[in-house]
Amino acid sequence: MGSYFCNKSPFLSYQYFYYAMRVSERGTALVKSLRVSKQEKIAYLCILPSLFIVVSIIFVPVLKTFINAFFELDRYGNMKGFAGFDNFIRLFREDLFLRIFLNTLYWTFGMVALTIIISLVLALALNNNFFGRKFSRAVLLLPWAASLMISALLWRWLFNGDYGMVNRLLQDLGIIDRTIHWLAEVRTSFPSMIFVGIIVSIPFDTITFLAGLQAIPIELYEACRVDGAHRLQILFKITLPLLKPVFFIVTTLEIIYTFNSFPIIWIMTRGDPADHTHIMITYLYKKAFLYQDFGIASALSVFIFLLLLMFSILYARLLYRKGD
Amino acid sequence: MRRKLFVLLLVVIFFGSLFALYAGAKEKKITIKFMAALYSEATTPFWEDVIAAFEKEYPNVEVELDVVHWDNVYQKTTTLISAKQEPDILNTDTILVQYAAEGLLEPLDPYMDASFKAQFIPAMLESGLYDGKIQALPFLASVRALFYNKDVFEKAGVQPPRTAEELVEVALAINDPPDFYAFGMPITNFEGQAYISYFLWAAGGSWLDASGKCAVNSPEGVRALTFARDLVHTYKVVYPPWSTVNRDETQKAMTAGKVGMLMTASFFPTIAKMDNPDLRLGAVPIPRDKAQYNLAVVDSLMIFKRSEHKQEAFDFIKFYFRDEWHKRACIEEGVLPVTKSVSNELKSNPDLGPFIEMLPSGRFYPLHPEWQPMYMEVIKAWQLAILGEKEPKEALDDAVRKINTEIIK
Repeated sequence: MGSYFCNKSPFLSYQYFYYAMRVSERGTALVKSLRVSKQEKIAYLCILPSLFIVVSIIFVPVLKTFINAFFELDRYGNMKGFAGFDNFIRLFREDLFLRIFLNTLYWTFGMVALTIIISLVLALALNNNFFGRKFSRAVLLLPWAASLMISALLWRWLFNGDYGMVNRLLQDLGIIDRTIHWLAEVRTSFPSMIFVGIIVSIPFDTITFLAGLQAIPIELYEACRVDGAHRLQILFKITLPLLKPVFFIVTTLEIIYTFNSFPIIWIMTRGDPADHTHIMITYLYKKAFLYQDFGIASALSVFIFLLLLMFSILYARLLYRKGD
Repeated sequence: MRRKLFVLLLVVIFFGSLFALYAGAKEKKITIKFMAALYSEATTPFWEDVIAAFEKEYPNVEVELDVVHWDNVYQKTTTLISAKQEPDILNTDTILVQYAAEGLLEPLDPYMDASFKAQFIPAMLESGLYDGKIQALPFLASVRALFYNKDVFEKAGVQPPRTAEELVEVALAINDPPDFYAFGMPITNFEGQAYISYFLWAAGGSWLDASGKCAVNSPEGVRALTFARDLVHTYKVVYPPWSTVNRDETQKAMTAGKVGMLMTASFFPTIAKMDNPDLRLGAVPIPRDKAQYNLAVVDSLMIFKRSEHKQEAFDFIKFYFRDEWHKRACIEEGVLPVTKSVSNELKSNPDLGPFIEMLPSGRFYPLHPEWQPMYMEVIKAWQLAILGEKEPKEALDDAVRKINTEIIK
């Protein structure tokens, strides 16, 4: 293109014309690639209603919350005036914030780590053929079939100090000698709720791991056995690495679900005593609907969203940078 | 070409059916939405009967009933208000002050004629008075009392306590952990403010001072909180899950014979009878310390300004206040009447009579738009102090500072 500037002659106009032609050709090619085929047009038309629903029910409220977080909001969530980062500053200044943040980390990573380990072991066990395998798999799905609310409510009564079966069972087994009011103090209530979370999360994780395990071709195992590898070697060198994509999906999903898991804590302790068993999502709910402070609630929503987004990106990078 | 037409047809049918659904949903009658709070298992059948009778007399009006538990009624109402879909009539408690302050309620003076207004006990009408206008009508009232298990008391040979000192003595005498605890003291987000009031007012303190700022950290307030804390830690007479098991559940524990004494509302005997008819309950006034007060709570019925059928809504409320319905509500729920006629009728009722006498000397919660966020902060302070994490004075000072700078502005 440099030579084009230097010449001021008919030669220039020719070069300019030539350039214009090439640009328009590129443009034409671009337009051609954008032009959708008839079939694609029909496809887009068909998904339009669903897309409309998804956008209006999920996208629009999320966007509105993001915008709300930067405004001062009244008791009913209406905007009163621009507030910049005020809501965020108030949020981080809350005396409970650090504690709730740590609670959430403890809750999430504790539950996910234990669930993943147990699920993996269960999946490996269920991958083998043994008598009663079909039955075991069906039984495994049962906790998942009950809604989370119902499970949480059930466990709230099972852990009840006066009438609960947990106390009864532990006393009969001789593990404890007097009734414990599980949900009355933090040091017993938080682990109890994590326990419930693990129970309800195991079905999904186990089934997913099982699906992943079944996708591994049997020939690989046979080849290893011929080479004389023993079971632990097979497990760590073949099975687990091949399970990596499934592992990534399961852990990411579990971390996101658990981080935002509302029913268990809200039903079992409501965050009490004295807000000690709150995680971020339950605190958000309390702030929004019991304190009617929608400013802090919106700011917290944005914070949680960004946190989980960052985590997902970093985690993907980490898992896929190591080898492959 | 044909395929295109087919797809177009699908889309038209889809949107067309949506439209038809919407158009068909338009009622030919007037529908008013009524959100009631759940008091007990008798609440829903009661309202259904009232509605059936009302609809017979007013055939062009249909009432849609929604009964919601007290635990959820604030959140549900707030959500509906945010969505501009609040009900026409709402049954709720002192939170109505918030709605009145925001101008959401329809003032009811223009709808009431002199004879209708005159049937109410005057003090009860105060509960809905805001900005000089009556914005809600009292629906029912309750007072509180200290209920005790008569069988346990007779066996131990003790009399129910009248003062704070007697409370400690009696509790120590009947306490028998872990099967039986002498005193139930639920301090949770549901009704925690009632328990605080019992101790706070008995000690001579109050929620607000003369200038309208929060004053629960006064010396009287600290005294009250210290007493409550001592009951839990020093004397160990309190039912252990006091911070996570709410009043209604503690009532059930008392009905099951696990708790000996509980301060709660005058409708407790009615509820207890349904669960355990053999339970013998006695009632004495809330024990006094430096002062003697009773907590009177009035719940109200109100109409929202955005309602499109305010006259019909008021007709429904007026229908409820006919003696037969108001009386039935009081007897079934064990609550106290707010009209003079029903009051007179029920004075001889064994469950309600003694409390009807107590009602005029009852003290109300402060009527303040920020009452709810304020009491939630104080409940938390009480929980922290009783858990032993903060000293009473420190916990109360922190709460009051936060309230007076951020909540009551």
